[in-house]
Amino acid sequence: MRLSSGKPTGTESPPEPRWEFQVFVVGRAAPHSQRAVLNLQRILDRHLRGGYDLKVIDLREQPELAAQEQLIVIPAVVRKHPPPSVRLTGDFSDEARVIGAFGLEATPTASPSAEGKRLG
Amino acid sequence: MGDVRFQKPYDRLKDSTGRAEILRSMSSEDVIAALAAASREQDPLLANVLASEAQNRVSREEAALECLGEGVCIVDAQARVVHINRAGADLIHRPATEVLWHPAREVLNLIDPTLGEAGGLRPEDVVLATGRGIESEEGVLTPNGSDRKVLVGYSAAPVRREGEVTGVVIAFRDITQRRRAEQALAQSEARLRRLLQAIPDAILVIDPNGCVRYVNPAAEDLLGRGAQELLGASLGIPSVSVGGAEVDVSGAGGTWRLARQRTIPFEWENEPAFLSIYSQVREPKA
Repeated sequence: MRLSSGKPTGTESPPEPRWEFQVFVVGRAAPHSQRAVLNLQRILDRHLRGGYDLKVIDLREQPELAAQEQLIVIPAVVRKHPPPSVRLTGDFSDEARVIGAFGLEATPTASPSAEGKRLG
Repeated sequence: MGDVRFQKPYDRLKDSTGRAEILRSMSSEDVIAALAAASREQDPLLANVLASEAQNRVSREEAALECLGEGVCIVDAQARVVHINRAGADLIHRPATEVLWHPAREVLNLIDPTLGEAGGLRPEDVVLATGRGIESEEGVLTPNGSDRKVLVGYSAAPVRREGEVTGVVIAFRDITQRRRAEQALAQSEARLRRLLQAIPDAILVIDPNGCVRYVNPAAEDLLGRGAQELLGASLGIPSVSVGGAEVDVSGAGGTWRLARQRTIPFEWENEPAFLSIYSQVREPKA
């Protein structure tokens, strides 16, 4: 797991507000869970220049969250910030759908070195 | 009563100064009453001016009626046809001149089954009796005693003179094609729902906001929840490629089942949606 702020170095521009996502999986080692997280991370890296936090939550470790968040189909990703909350399900391989639903169209394309900060 | 009402404008009309402006400000009913007063007072010059104004107004109104795509039929207090425009005459397959002064019950034979009881009522009779207008999409025209039935949407409004209902204006349009299309669509949707009910795979219709709009019985079984609980629930916008993807679905008692999800863009009740199909891959995971 890589941890990186993803911020370009050597610039004086004020920090942009970070996007926050929570992705829910059932068993983080399961191949389909890993595939979904990787697909999502690839899209977010490309469109948010690393200016995001992605928290992976395993419902095997926190089963109570399924009822709390009313989760029915997993993997599911929730955009927590900016509001409003938006939820997607599946393996996030339909990139156009992810971009459209999260409103990533207007965001600048990331440089090849930019990475997001993955938590959890 | 008419003389008293129009004394002031009538007196003003006697003076030719500003006459055109006064005429423009008068209603058609006022013009007719003033014309009667001028005739009684034997003022031929003013009577000519008023008759000309009345004729111009009638011509303009008739021209406007003829241009309408809707059929328009005007009946008098005895429910006899006093005017029918071109679109109306086309709809009943008779020239307008043939039907003048004939009873509307023969010419149009317009019945609204939703009015009254036992087979419905004629809108012109109801408006003449109550003085209230009607708008409905449930009219049935059976013109000229034929077997040809035309489904019409219509509005019927009273014509009043000095407070008395002196006739009815009925505007009507043929909605047969639209109604057939609606029935065909309803039948098609019913067939689709029966098909979805019979399919053993779990099927959900999800709107563009990720909310569930339809579940079939197989989906209720797979998700361990009834349709009432699922409909409207925020499932999430599906994002899977054409080939589908493996997902975990929540079953009864907090279990998770592995399923293959396929999703296609779809139209549901004339709105864009997603049709998501879930085929169970294996029994509940350990």
